Amino acid sequence: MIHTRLRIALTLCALLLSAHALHAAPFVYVANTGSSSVSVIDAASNAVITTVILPADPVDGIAISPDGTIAYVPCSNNTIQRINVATNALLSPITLSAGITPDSIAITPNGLFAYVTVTSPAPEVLVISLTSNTVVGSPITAGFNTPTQIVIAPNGLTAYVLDTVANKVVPIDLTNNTAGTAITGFIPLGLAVSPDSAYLYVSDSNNALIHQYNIAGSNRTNPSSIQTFGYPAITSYIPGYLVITSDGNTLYVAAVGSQHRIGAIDISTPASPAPSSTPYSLGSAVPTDMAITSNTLYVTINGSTVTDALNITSRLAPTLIESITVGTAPAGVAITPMNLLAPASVTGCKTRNVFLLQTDNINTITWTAPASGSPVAYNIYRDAALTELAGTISASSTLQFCDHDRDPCATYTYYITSVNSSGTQSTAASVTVTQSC
Amino acid sequence: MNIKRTSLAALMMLASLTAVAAEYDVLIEGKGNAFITTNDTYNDIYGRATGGGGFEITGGHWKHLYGFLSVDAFHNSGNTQCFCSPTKVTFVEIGLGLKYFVPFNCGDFYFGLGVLPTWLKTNDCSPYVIQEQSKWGVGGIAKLGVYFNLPKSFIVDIFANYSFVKIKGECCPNVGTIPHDAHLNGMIFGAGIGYRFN
Repeated sequence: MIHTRLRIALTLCALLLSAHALHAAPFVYVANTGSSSVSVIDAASNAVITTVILPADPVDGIAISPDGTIAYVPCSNNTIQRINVATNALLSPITLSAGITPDSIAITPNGLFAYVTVTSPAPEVLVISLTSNTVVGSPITAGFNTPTQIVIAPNGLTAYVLDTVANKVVPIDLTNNTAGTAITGFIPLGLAVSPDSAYLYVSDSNNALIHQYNIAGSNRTNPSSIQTFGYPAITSYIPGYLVITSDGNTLYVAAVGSQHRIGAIDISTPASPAPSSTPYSLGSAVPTDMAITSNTLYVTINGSTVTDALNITSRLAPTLIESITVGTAPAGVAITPMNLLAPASVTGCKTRNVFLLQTDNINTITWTAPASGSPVAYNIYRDAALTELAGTISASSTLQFCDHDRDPCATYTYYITSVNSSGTQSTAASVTVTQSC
Repeated sequence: MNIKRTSLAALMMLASLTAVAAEYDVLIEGKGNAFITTNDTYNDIYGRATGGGGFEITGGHWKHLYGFLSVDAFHNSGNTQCFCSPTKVTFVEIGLGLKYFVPFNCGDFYFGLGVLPTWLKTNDCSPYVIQEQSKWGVGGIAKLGVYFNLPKSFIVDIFANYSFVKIKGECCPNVGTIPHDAHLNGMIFGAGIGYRFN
């Protein structure tokens, strides 16, 4: 009897410990380059819930798979360490050839491949299959000197690699892993791609400017310059890391130099970027990387043991929530994807489209976006088994579906799911249509 | 050859009509009119008024009773409520009946009754319904008007009619698209100009 109760208690404890990756708020993973560890922060409480000890120092970057199951940490011992996000236990690492020092890492939206920049012995970009956890194909060289950052456009078609010594940004066509036309004429320190994969932003430390490029369509491997803009509210600064909110409306720039600031730029109208007049001052702290949730911006501080959590609810005026103590020399920071939830506030009603000789009886379903996840579309089904698809509505259009030619006397139940960019589908929210609109 | 025969037949018919017209009191007119619906569904989609035109032949003279044959065509376009689906309607009313004339100094007052076979065509722009339908129905017409005699046997007709026609909807192949009857009920106001053979 006692053993049975003990087993139940132990099982409950294990479930509680592993449940965070499946249900709770996002988790922030900070690579501590001076203490061979990764700090895991609960974004709901901004408390460090655990520290994962690594066999070697992380080098710089960190990335989390789009399904939120594994964190990848490039380390100085020619490995990519893998952390099970559900349990925060180390998995078997991806071992690279001897002598290779991986730097930053980015994962394709479908979760199949990782692209890793390498600074020594030869500057290059490696392609790693996350199915076999091995390097595939030939390294991409593209005349690199010191490739230190890589971002992948949300559409998964192109990666952009920043070389801080060769002073260029190189597009890589991910359909064939070949380099496109490099962008030059600046000293780049940070880069970010808009959620619609239409714009690339590059910070230019030489001229204290941010360059905006058109990377839509055929420009994705041959970016064309649109404009440059500065940040009038910060003087004598060097723009560094960049990050864009998931709605594409705000670009945050980490400014270093004589003033250390986090500046917000309204890019909701991409043709007219509008820097805010109220950047957040970091004092003497130097930012090294940034990552963002829907309401919090996390900034790792160079050479410290601190990661700042900034409130960006008022998106153009960040304010400090708290400085979180993490490991030594935090660098790369990544956040688990928000859990994809079912649509909220689902309602349905019956309406009619009346012509002179006939009437189209319509069931109209409306809903709102879920509080968590970034759905790109919604599927509407007529059955609980989600086999009879009635239609699909884009997340950017009006969140309403009209099911035509229905029997006005019948009762219909609909099941609506959220779908993210990698095709993952949430659980369904259901609604039974009985009332007239 | 056929054209010659048709022309010949038309000439013979015209000659016969002229002969009949000469023997009886016959009025032939062309007219313009407006159909003012009293049906809510029609009004919601196409609006209250629909324009049209046609012609009418009135003839006879037996105790002030005349027979009439009229053909009037109407056309309108509109949008459904809520969903704003574009739709067009065309209908042709063929009136056949009797008029009673009440002479006065400048012409004749008249009132009349008749049957009204009607052809209706609708074009509904929606992928979820039958997009084109044409149907026949039958109804009635009540006429009230006045003929003013003009010099050289010309006449002017001022009239106000009431027509009522029901056209049955048919079962639709689309599940859930419900057919229903169309009611072409309403007043017809208009004027005509023509010639009086007497």
